[in-house]
Amino acid sequence: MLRKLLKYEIKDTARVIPFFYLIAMFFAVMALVAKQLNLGWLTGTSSFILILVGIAVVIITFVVVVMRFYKNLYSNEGYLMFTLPVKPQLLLASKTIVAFTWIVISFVVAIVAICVSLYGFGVNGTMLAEIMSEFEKYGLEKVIYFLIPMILLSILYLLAQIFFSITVANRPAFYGMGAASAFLVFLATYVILQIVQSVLTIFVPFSIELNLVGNVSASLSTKNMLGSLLENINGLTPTNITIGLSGYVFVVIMICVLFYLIGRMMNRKVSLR
Amino acid sequence: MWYQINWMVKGRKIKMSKIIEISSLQKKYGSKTVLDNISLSFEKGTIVGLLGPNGCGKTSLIKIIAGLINDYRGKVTIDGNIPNEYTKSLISYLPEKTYLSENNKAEYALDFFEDFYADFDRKKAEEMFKQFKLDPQQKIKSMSKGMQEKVQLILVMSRKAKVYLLDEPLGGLDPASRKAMLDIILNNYSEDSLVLLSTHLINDVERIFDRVIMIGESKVLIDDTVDNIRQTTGKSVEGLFEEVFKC
Repeated sequence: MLRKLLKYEIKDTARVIPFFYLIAMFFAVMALVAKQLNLGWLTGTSSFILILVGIAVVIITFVVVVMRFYKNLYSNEGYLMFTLPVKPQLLLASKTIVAFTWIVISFVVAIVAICVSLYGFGVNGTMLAEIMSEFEKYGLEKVIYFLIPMILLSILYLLAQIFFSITVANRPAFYGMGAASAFLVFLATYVILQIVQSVLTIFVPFSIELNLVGNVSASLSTKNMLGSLLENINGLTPTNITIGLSGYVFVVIMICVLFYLIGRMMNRKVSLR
Repeated sequence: MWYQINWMVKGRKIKMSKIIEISSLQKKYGSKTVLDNISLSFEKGTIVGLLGPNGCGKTSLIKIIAGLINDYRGKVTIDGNIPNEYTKSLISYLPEKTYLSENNKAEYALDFFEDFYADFDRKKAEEMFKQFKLDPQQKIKSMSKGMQEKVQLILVMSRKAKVYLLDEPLGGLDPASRKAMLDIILNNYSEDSLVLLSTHLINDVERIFDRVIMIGESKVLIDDTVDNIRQTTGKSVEGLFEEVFKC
């Protein structure tokens, strides 16, 4: 059944999102052709628009998948979806997988669009290679291996919070508040989780320590992040950076908790208007 | 008023095989109780009318059986199971709202039902589309309200379900279409299934009911066969309804 749900989820979202990829592609081709033909004003204009389209693609993708989640489950369409002979958790899984995939693709499209724009503005391969070699000089080229999983985790975390807020806001207790309830629940959830995450990151003595002298080396540490922060605030030049890891562990746990709660609410507490 | 023996309804013997059992059901919205200590059971092979004024809890009862409302007290079982994905596979549900995606063509809905419901008879649905001059290539949003309701009813009645839950299926239709819709229901329901139909257009549908349940003030006020109502009260169902819910 999950395969069928995914099929229809992809079908329905594929009508809107790829259209914006085509727009990005159009301006990318225009910027590259204009650059080849040395049409300065056209290169500049199309490169500038391309940056905007790149950013818009990510925002629009988020809006589309969030609207889809709400409309398909909690508006009139929910009467069909929640009476399908499938576990509600499968509905959630299909929507999360497809939403996550589209957002990742949109991020890739946005990065490519920004790279093409930079090329249009005159940032060439040599300059990028110089920046990369600076990173490599300090052994930071491996940061990307941490960065990519962190971005993917953040996308999933944000989706979990949004889907959780929409699901909570569609409980009978929130009916009177209308559409604003989902936004308010999201705001409250986001602020509370951010505070807890920050506290855990700074104060719990579980961290990764980066040695900045010579080649950068990293090691797990039982120091908390507070000392490193105070050194920075006091203007001392730190030889080590301590990055608290508990916040990230909290994020992973909260992603599981939020999806569990959404599934449970969809299964036992759903009450369509 | 309730019979635990086999009935003779409109000349045919009804098998008393219970498909839905409800005991001590209570549903509240905030402090307002819409269903209070309701106990009912429904047998296969019957067409049951669920009648009552607006806001009396008809739709809530249907939504609970369909598995759309889970925060209630009491016990509801369908074929011995509390509402879950198994019971949803037995139930063909028509809500009072248009639940089809408006941006899609009717054909998309046919594909969707075919994919998710093993008991969906696509050929039958397509024949009914032709019979009612509906174009599967037409988008749902470009159809009139009546056409949308016909499409939904065709989809729902093209399933070989054990239970058909029809919530106000005639609400937005002209009299000619109402007759056509009732024919769809009568021609496609099998003697092995239950039809639970809520409506306030009693006069139009009275002829198809075997049994009638009237709900008011959160309780079951009348629960009897149509034949019995006529014999004991000398009134039509609509006449009795008007008397029971007299303002």
